Amino acid sequence: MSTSMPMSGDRVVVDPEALQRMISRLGDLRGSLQAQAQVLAAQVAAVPLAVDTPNRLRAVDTWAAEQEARLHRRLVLAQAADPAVRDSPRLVFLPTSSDRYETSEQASGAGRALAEELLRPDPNRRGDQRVTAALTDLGARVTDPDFVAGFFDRLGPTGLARLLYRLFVPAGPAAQERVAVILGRGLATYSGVRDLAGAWLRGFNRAGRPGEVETSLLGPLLAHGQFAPALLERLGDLFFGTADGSLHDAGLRPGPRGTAAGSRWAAGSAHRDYAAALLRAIAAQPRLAAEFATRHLSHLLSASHLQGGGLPGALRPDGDAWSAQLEPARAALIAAAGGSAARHDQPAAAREFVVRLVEMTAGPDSAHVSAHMRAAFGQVLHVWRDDLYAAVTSPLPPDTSAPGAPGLGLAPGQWATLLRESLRGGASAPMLAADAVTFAAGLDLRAWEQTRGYNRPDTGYYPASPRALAYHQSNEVATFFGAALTDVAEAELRDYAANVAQHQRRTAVLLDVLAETVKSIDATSLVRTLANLARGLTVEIVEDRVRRATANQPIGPARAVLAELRAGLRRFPDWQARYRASVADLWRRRGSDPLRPVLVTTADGATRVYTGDPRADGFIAGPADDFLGPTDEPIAVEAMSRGQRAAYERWLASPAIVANNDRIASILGVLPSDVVPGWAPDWARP
Amino acid sequence: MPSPQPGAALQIGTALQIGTAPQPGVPNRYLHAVEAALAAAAAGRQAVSDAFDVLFIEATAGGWQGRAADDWWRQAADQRAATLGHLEACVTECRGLLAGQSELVGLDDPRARHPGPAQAVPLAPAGRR
Repeated sequence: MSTSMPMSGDRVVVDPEALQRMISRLGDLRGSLQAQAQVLAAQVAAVPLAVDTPNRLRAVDTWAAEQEARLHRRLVLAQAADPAVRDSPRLVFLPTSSDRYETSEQASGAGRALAEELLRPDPNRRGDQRVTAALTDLGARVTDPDFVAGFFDRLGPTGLARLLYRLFVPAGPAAQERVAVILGRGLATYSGVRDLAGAWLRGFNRAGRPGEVETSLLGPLLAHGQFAPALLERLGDLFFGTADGSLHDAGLRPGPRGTAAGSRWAAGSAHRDYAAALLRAIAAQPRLAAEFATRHLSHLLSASHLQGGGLPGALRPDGDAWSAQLEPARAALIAAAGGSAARHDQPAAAREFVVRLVEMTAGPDSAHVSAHMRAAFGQVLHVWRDDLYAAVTSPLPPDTSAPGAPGLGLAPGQWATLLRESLRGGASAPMLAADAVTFAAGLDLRAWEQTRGYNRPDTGYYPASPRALAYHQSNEVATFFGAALTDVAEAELRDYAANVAQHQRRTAVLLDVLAETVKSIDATSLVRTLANLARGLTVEIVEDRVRRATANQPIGPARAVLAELRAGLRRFPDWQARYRASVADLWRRRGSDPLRPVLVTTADGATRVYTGDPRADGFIAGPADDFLGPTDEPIAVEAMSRGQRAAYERWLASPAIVANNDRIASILGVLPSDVVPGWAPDWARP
Repeated sequence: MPSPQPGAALQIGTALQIGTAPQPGVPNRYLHAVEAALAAAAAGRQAVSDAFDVLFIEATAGGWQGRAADDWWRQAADQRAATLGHLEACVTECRGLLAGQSELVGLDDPRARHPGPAQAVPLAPAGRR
């Protein structure tokens, strides 16, 4: 985990849980020593003994008490060295300086003394020298929670605000990078040991006016450590104006002599820099990002719509919360809220965020967003790829009652809006194409694995291949993505003629990117497709291409490629309901038209028989997933429980059901397998 | 005669018995006091030894490894040895005091007036300080 290493002997391995157990065993030892000393002292009082055993036991207890405090401090230090791995089973840390304090009290006392030194005027040393020396001392101890607690406790919020102002205002924080790093890391550690979201924050201003938070002073610090989520959340709510009324975001107040005059750190830009750092700090915390972004999603998207070029300047709302300068940070927050870390750490919150994002983007009054935001949408879609395409390929309608189900209960059309908006930026197109191709290839592969050997030499006639549904679902994925891509291209083209040259250049570049993406897809090879796709495309690269594009970049070739794609898309509207109906018919008529069993070879070489009966084939294991009603027919999908839906979906895609379905050709547009009609081996005869 | 103080107990060793004629006996309260001290020391030795063992088992689980941990281990082992040594010495000394003591002593014997074993001491709950 950590940093530089003075010598190999200083390597320390700490298993927090085991060390905690060790500390509590030490406590048990102390309990035992004290109890025995007490009993023994009473019993030997009247007996003439030369050895003073009770006293000896008390001395060992004193030793154990010291060890308990030392071990506890080691544990605290190890955990503080990298809070990100606090939950990991083992921590390895390499102390950059020897631990010169034996106990927490000693360390916090030293931190307090350092702050004291900083606050008390010293006639022998100039103020700047004193500050530099004190910060150097602090710099060596920023991960020591005890020391840091002592230091910042003594400094207090007002003391810190004054110190930051004094350090940053004359030449701007950029000139004081080292100071920002030290105080940032220290304050981050401090936020982990004290609650800074309440009274401390209320006092964070130079004048000592409760509730006036000089937030801008925190800006330079926020990038340099993992701050407590509660503090970041409170600051975020304050910035978006949703915190309770007891706090006021004062930005940066002018100094006593009207300062900031001559400073390179103007109040306006300082506050915007602070806000960008804050949004990025929130984005960097997977446990906070999703929940926070969900709460402020409407504002984040509205602010981005303004950048997308809607409103004339005079109509734009005031305030840094709407500033264009914050757009990359806003996009970073959106990407993080739907990102893989948030999905892993806070699955429910991340799911809710994505559902809200898709719903809001698909809403009737949604408008275009900025290029950065479009790239962020692309990242979210990349992380939730399996859900997006589960919605597209499922033969069932979306399950709105269960947002945790594959597809998140969203309709393919809703996902399509987010996909189109993302593709409009261009930068995400190659990555999203790769996702579609990879997912489709995965479907094919799984279908092949599950039906291996079905067409052995003695196999009889089946109306369709048991893989037909999977082939169709692959096609659905390709069609879904291709349709979104051509929709975007056509929408851009419609705007093309009406727009000024600058916009025409942008359209031309975008069409180029989209056409390149289409050309990269090689239907015969997943590997070649992935190799062809320029997945590293970023917003900056696209913007650069727009800048370099000539005024009349030809769009003809790109149009031709996209038109060809459009013509090649095979759409099967409403196939899900028609497919389910065809299966229901098949099942209903099994008396007169028995289903032929399908034999497949499983991964371990055994033979598995699918009869088409959901009970015999193991899709229905008990009442919880029994989707057949009293008439032995599937009940309405809307009435099914989650377990019933899952079983029903598996049955619909099972080999015997697909292979015996002679309507597949007309519903899904695939041809029946080429076998000899009418012939079947004995085992395939019902 | 005032009742013997703990410090005075040294004067009431086994030598007093030599040469005295058998008398109607009363319980030797001194003997009981030493027995109680012996029992307490032996039980203490076991309890402290167990507590150190549990600590060492946990310490070998790898909760903390490094140079300082090795130093600590040596220190803790020394503490264990010294503590158990003390308790062992206490046990040995109690056994020495018991040698030659009789169950009953004469009415005049100071050991009959010895305060005897201490009342049961309420133990602190295990694991608490």
